[in-house]
Amino acid sequence: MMRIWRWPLVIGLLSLLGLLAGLVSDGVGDWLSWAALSLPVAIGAKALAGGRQTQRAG
Amino acid sequence: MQARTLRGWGWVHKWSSLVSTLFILLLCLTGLPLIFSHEIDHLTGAEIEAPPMPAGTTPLALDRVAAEAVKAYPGLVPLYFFAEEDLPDLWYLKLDTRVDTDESESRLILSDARTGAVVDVPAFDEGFMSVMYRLHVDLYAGLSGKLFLGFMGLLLVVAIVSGVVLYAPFMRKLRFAEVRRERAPRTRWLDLHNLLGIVTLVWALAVGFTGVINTWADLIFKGWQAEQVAALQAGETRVLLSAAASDAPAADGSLQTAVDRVLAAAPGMAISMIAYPGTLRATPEHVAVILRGDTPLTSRLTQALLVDPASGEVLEASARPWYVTALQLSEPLHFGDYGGLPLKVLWALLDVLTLVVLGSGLYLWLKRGSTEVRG
Repeated sequence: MMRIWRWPLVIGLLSLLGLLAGLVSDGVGDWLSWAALSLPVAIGAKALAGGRQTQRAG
Repeated sequence: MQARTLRGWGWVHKWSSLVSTLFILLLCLTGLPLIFSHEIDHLTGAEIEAPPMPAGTTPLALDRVAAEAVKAYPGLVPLYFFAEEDLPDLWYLKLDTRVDTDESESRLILSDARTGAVVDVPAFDEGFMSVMYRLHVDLYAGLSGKLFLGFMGLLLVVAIVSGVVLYAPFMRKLRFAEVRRERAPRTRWLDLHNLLGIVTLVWALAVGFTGVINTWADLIFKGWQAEQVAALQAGETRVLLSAAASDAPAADGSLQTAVDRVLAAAPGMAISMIAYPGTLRATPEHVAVILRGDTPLTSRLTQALLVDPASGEVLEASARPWYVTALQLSEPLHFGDYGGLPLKVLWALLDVLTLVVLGSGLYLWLKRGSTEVRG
């Protein structure tokens, strides 16, 4: 069970941090929120791009 | 998890998604340009700027700005002044035939804070962005449209939560972010749906739920106003500046002096809105001044003070209740406008990923039964 939830939990907590950091502080908080919210975007984009590559190869 | 429980969650996920999908697709698509509405206005020249004047030009008294507006629109009376944080030299001014109308015939103009000249009459009800806004906010159906979209948003929240419950059983034999690309398209898209859904989870819940809260804004402000009126009638008010206080300009019946006394009573706060006596946000005898703080967080949270222009007494009838705080914090978390352009770009990318989750979910339902995995 822990194996399944480890990464979703990390990404969820980082997203939460990202959403709140920019709200409570300018400057450092903004940078923190950009970095944290980039993680789900990067994972999602990688998965979608990978899918296209396989389709072309197949 | 028992097979029967799992089927139950599957049923909840399927129906909450199916009922709301088309509307959530519409909200995601129309929301995309709205994230950048400020930038789009700037690029298309729709953004309004105050004519340049020497720095430090003293602003005109509010009473004179209002008088200039009434001169330009004879027969109308001023209702509200609105201040925009990034337009310090301009006032939005709302006029109508009476102070106690439903504002369906009201007119919003932009006045120069230094000369009182009417700078522009923004056409908020024309153009592409206005169509996007109306489709996103109320489907051109007023309060009932807002509440309907809010209900669709609640279904989205249910779909997200039930989707999370279903995530674990689908992932039992898979590593995180594993997409079975060699298998049938439906299996591949099931894996992508699960992955994109789980990584956008917290963002989508935050934006979805704060969107639902925003649909209740009208009701929330009416509730607060009722609380303020009740507190006034019961005499349960907090006096911040007594009529006799000598450390502020003496009351002379003018709006400007009344507002100056409010600012003296609330150091560190800036004007967000001024409501004339008799309007929805004020009382028959008091001017209401809505103030905001000057830090990133408190600039979103407003305080409403009342001032009697004749006596100069400044009071607070009812401190901001928790449900108004919730609404005011919901706005930035829905709009994504609190972290500069990079945050807006991330908001747009997460919105696109959500669109893929919605589209793939619809595809999985249409192709149901075509592989061994049933959703």
